[in-house]
Amino acid sequence: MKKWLYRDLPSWLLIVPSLLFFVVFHWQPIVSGFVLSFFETKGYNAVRFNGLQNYIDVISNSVFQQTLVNTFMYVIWSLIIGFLVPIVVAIMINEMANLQAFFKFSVYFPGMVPGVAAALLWTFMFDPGPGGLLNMLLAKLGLPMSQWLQNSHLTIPLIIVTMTWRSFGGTVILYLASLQGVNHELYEAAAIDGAGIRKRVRHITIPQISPIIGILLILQIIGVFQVLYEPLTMTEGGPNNSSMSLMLTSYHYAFRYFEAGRSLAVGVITFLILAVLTAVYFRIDKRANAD
Amino acid sequence: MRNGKLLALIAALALAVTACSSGGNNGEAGGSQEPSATASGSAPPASESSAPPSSSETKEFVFNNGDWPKPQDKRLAQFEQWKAKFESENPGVTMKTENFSYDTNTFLPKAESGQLPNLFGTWFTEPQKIINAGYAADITEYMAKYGFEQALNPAMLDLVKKDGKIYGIPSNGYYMGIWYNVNLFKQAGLLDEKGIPKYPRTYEELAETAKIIKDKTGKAGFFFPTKNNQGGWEFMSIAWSYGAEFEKLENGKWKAVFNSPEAVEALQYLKDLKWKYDVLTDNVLVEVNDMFRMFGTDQVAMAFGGTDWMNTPINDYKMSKDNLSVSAVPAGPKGRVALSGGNLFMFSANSTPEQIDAGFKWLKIKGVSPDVNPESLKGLEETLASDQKLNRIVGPHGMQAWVNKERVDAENAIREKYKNVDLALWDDYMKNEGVTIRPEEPVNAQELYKTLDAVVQAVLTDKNADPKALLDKAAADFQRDYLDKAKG
Repeated sequence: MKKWLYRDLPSWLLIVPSLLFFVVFHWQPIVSGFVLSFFETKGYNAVRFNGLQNYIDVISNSVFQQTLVNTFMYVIWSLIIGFLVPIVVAIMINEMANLQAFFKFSVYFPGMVPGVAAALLWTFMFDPGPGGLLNMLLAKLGLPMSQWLQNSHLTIPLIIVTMTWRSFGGTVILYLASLQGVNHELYEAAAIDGAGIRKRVRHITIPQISPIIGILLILQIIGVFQVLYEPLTMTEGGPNNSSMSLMLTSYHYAFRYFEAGRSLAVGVITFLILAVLTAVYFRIDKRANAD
Repeated sequence: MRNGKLLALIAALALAVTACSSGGNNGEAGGSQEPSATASGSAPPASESSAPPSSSETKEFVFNNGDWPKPQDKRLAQFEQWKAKFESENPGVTMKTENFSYDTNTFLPKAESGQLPNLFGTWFTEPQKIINAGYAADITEYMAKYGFEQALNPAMLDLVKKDGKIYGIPSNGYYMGIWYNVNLFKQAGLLDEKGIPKYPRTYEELAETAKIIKDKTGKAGFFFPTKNNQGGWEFMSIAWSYGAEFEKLENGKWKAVFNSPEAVEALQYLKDLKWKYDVLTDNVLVEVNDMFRMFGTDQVAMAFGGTDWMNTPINDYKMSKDNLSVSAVPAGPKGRVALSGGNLFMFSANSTPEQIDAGFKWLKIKGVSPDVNPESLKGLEETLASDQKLNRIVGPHGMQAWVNKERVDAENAIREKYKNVDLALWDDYMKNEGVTIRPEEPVNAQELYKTLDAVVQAVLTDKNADPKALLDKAAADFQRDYLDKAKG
């Protein structure tokens, strides 16, 4: 044991900086946040251990249930609206003979717009009066105007549309990279066997990129589950809490009411839900691969 | 390989634990700091005899002043003069300036990391929160020493007290009135022969006036915010004047009582503004900053407002100072009630006695003090003179902080000298006749506003919303979430 440690000492020394980095900037905040969530806090100082009281307060809050449901609604809508789009677009761009670079740039372009600016931009488009951009369009087409974000049934799907618009480009690039790794001989062989485009996509493309589809699915769920600044800037959780998300609740606890303990309790709850979801996914994935 | 992983994990855990235990120590240190802070708070009476002569002359220290304008602010030259004066009068004290504008989003991190300036400004909804979180210094001793305590408006002083100790210096106060955009009133033909808007005297009249504006100019008649807790906050003034109450102390327990028929009626009124009169802005998910923009650019004709905001649309949207007229709040079925608020100064908890003392001296130079000698009024006079030069509104005033008669008279004389707007546009507001002024609700006011925000949003976005059902639920929720946990 000792001999082994001695032999490896130089390599240990080499990883010390990155280990320190992880401990100080990644793990320490997570651990101390976890610890603080069990304390009554004054600012960020732990005043008194109060067990699960923060969790009880947070969960028993009358808006919490709706917030939890909303957060899942964000995820579900993001899967409905945003999950297939990048796959389809990536395959389309991959099949193009010309202008690939132009389309790659075009789909990625919205991702370069700063997030809050994009949210404000969409708020202008969604303005519910006759002066709103989308309402002007509807009026030109002779359709009735919409209340957009003020219609509580539409709030979450519309926020998801803006999020998809902004972020699907990055996902497309990842899919494209993976698509370009698919062996061309497979396509040629399939073409010789008389497979059309649909069959080629179904039997070659999708299976070949399925690992990355799985990973991006998990990343998307994790990302959308923590949705914060879109509702913060566009609706502030309204109307009537219909777009309130867990992270926005956490934000309000911390910065509006100065209750760090409760804010962190919400954070830990979010973390636990995501951990469970991820574990479930890997279990399913493993079983599917084993079959 | 496996061993290596394990070892790395153990090493990491050990580090994490030490890091976290040091975090715990910090917490304890914070806890133990408290008693020492109170100890120093109780110490001064003893040091009072010894400290002042030595501290003011010999000790050198830095005073971090958060009461400072932005670099592009035109009042900067004025502040520089005061700074020079302060430093010549207080050798040994170095003043470090910082534009600290209070923001609920950044206050906590700043306070927590010890980045608060010694002296900082905030507004009336905040002090209890800040005091409870332990970020403000106890300044009771200095309030007496400088004679501030006796001269301050007692209603305002109450806001900065806790357990008999004083933690802040209210500098000015306001009560809600109604703002009128003179341009839009002119276009709608709603000015009287003297050019003063015809003020609605009841909330019903306000709705009708707003309707006329909307019909004649196509612009929104009335602005009502619904976000960032402002919806609940402004709803108070309306609901009170309909006879509604929000929190009631019964047998030592707080009860949420805002599902009364009166509150329902007030909410129905708000709902009618949208669905019956249709006089609100198209987008109702708005907040006060949207109001400044819309009001300043003639997009909305009326809004709740007071004196503390009067220069914002002028500064930010180049509105003419003569475009604003203000009246007292209209009457509801149970009279006129206006919410009050204002600004104050506080000291960060880690300030030394010398730094606090320096802060009081700075405020005296600026004219934030009850004194009436020309020296102390010079600050106020210079402020108004520079405001006048910058075409900001000078003349009207809100609630006055200093209530000793000499001070009130002296202030009025100075205002008269520099006034640059037609005070007829402001008379009604300043007289504020028949209006009851109320402070904010005592328990979890911000959470109450948030709860009411949701209710207001519901009636303004859903034509079929039921005000009674919404308020029943909101009151029950607020009771369970907050009042049941409040100490009586």
